Amino acid sequence: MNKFLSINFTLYTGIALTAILIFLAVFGPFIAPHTITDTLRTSYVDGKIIGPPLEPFMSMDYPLGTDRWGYDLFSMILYGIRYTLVISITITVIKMAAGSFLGLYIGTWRKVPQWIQAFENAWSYIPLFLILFFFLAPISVNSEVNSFVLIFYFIIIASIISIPSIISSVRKKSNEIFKSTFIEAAQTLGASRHRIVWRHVFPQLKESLLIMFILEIVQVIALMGQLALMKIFIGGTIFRPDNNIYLSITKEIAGLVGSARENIYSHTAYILYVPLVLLLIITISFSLLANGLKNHFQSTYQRTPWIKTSFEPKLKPKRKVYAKLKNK
Amino acid sequence: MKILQQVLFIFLLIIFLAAIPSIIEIDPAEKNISWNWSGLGKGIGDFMNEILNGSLGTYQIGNQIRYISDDIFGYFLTSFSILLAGVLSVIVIGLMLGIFLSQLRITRFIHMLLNVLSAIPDFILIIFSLVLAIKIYEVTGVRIIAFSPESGVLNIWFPMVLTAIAPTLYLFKLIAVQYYQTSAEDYIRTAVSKGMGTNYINFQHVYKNIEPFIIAELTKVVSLAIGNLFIIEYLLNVPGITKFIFQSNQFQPVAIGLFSMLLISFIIYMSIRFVLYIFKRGFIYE
Amino acid sequence: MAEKLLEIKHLKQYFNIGRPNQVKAVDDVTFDIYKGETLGLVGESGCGKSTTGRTIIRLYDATGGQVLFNGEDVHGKKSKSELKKFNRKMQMIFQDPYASLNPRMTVADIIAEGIDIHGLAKGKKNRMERVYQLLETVGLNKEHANRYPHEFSGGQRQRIGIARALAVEPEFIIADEPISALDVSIQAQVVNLMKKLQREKGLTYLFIAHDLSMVKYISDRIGVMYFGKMVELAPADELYKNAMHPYTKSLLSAIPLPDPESERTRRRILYDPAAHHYEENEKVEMRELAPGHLVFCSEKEFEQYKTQYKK
Repeated sequence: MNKFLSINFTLYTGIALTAILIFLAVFGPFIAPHTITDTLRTSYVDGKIIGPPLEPFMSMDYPLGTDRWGYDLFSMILYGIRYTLVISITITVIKMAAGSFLGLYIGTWRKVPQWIQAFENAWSYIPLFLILFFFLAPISVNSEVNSFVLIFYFIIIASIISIPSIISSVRKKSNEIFKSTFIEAAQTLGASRHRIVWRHVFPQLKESLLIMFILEIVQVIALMGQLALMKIFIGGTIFRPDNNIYLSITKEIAGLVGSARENIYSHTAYILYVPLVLLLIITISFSLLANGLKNHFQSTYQRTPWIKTSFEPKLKPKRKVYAKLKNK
Repeated sequence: MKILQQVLFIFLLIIFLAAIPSIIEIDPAEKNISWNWSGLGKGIGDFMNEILNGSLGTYQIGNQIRYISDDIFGYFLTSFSILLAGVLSVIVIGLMLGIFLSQLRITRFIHMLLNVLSAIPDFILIIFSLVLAIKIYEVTGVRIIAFSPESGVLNIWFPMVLTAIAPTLYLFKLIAVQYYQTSAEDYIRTAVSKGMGTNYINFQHVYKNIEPFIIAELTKVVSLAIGNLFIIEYLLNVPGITKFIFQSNQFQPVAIGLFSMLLISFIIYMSIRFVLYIFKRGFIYE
Repeated sequence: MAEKLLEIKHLKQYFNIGRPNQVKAVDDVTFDIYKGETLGLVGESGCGKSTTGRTIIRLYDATGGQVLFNGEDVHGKKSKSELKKFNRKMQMIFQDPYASLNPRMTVADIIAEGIDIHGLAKGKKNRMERVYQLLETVGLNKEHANRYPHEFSGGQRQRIGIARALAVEPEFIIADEPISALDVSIQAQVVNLMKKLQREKGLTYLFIAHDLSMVKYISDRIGVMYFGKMVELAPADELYKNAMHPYTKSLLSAIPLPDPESERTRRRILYDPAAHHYEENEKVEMRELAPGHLVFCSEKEFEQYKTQYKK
């Protein structure tokens, strides 16, 4: 029983959920029961009228229901999830790679120039989604530009504007390690800056960079969600002024949430809930993965508090086994 | 010197942001995105002209064109009070749950709840809160939110709550981690071994060591609150500063809106620092 | 005496220059180190002896002065290959054996780091052979190579640190309080190892310590530092017999002896820097009292010391 409790459930659940999400992102359109252009025609089945908007779990053909025009919600999210994951992961890869690289090297400077710190502070004051809003608002709605150009544009700008915060946190961690005595020892041996960064500093930061990477994916998805609430959908927004509706071109999940926002006040609120719940599952699986990894790495180094705190770690530290003890 | 540089950077950033909508265009012939840098100079020039003439200019709301100076005071006050109440409650709740009440049995459950919530992005939380408010109205008939700008008190307290959610979770998580780490320090062991009460240790040893982290993260907390305020004012149609920012994409109102936000966040940052200072003076050094 | 290996001329190391909290950690220090000798450097915590060592090996950039190694200036060097050459000739052993070894590297990788940087081994096999040889030299064995630093005791870690320094075949080693963090029972082992290595490889040491009793055992000459200045420099026996500077006397009076009788009667001499009564334009500098015995004093004090000096 004790052994059972000490299993890192968070980590395994996170891994399983993430694996499922990646599977859906890759094979989504092949599983989808309908294409995104198919609509449900009103028909009589067993004396009941079945027609759009169809609520979830009413029909086997449309498991999660349809929207007002009869488009299948389940198929829509299966088509959209790859956009959400690919875009958010691409942005994270770019910003983490650039941010960690610069941060690692800046961390080895004896002194960080004042203007860098001032810039970091100024930059952290303005919410990122606002910057993106100004960049995307003039070009996203009823855009004549191809949606892949818009996605590319979003990826580039979102990556660039989030690099400063990554540099800032990596540089502080890197600098912390750079002050260690073993770095001085390497310097006296004649180690170059590159050698110190990649052989001494980076190996110590590997784990926390991995955790940071996963959490940053959630940050990007949050950013996309915030923009979606402002009717900026990644890949372009279609605006129909006569009905006052906004549609996402790519069916990207955050975009689906944003375009279904008005349904919150009506009896068709499920049109909002379906993508919203999926988005919640996506973010929670990444958070679980990150927390699981954190527990996995931390349990070994954690110190025990002297006074009662409200959360006790359940995981036991794992000791490395170097040599097997022989039982005689 | 550093403060001065920082102010300069923020100033440039705001000018740049306000000008972006007039810089980026779609080239209809090539169907591509093009940058029109001449928009930047013109925007700044017009802005300076208006300011030097002693006027704040106009903004567009729907089809109406209104003077910014007519509305700015009311909008400023609304945004300010929402943000101040929000951030104040963030600090109070964070400190209470994170440090001073962390021993209570109930707090444990709240901690667990907050830990789960903090994994969820803020915009999802905002939508869920809206859903919750509507459900409460449907079931009990109690009106929690209003969507017309004329409904007074109702219109302001729900945004306050929503604004506070995300920064509270952020600050709480930070304090909880710091509390856990600090409580493993040797000086805590010494204090415990001398038979000091938990409350005394919390005030004299834990809080004093966590305070610098709180102050360091205060800008982040205020910035998070502002980010949420933008979304909430937009979603709930609150007559606040964001009216200048989201309703039109002219240079003038956007720049004035962003500068007002800067002023608001500065005042709030200072007042929180003051509150923390008073707290420290009043409670910690008797 | 033998030829000079290292000449330190008017070395200055100031921190926070131009600010109100400016610190003169090393203030105009001049001394020579001869080939094959051990120069002990003693003084209380914060007197600048570690900073002197670190500045010599270029962990800090000197504020002023010169460090000549075999007649070549170490600090003026710019090109990378020339700097590397000096890194091979000059090495350092660190005070804290726990912090100075990277916890994520195996002992073999730690020791071989210098070999890798300077490309001293041909092929992996040769690299490991060298590592095994170095481990044996410092009294560890082959099996230790693939372990991590946290699996060793303080004394063993310090041996690893010594092996790391020896890997690049240096001529000169700065030992920055190498035994201060060790248990008393281990200190002698490490010092004996260092003495043995000196005999075998003809090494020159700058041995920094705050403990006079152990320094006397290993050093040929001893320098005493006080507040960034060298106050007395003399052959080890001479310094113990004929200490002239009041600060040196005070240090000597603080050495505990393992004898209860003399401990009871031992009188601690206190040093008060105000007791010198230096006048404003008086020239205070290092003056040679006897061959090889230098004292930091004014002209007036010099005469006074001369009369006190016992042959």
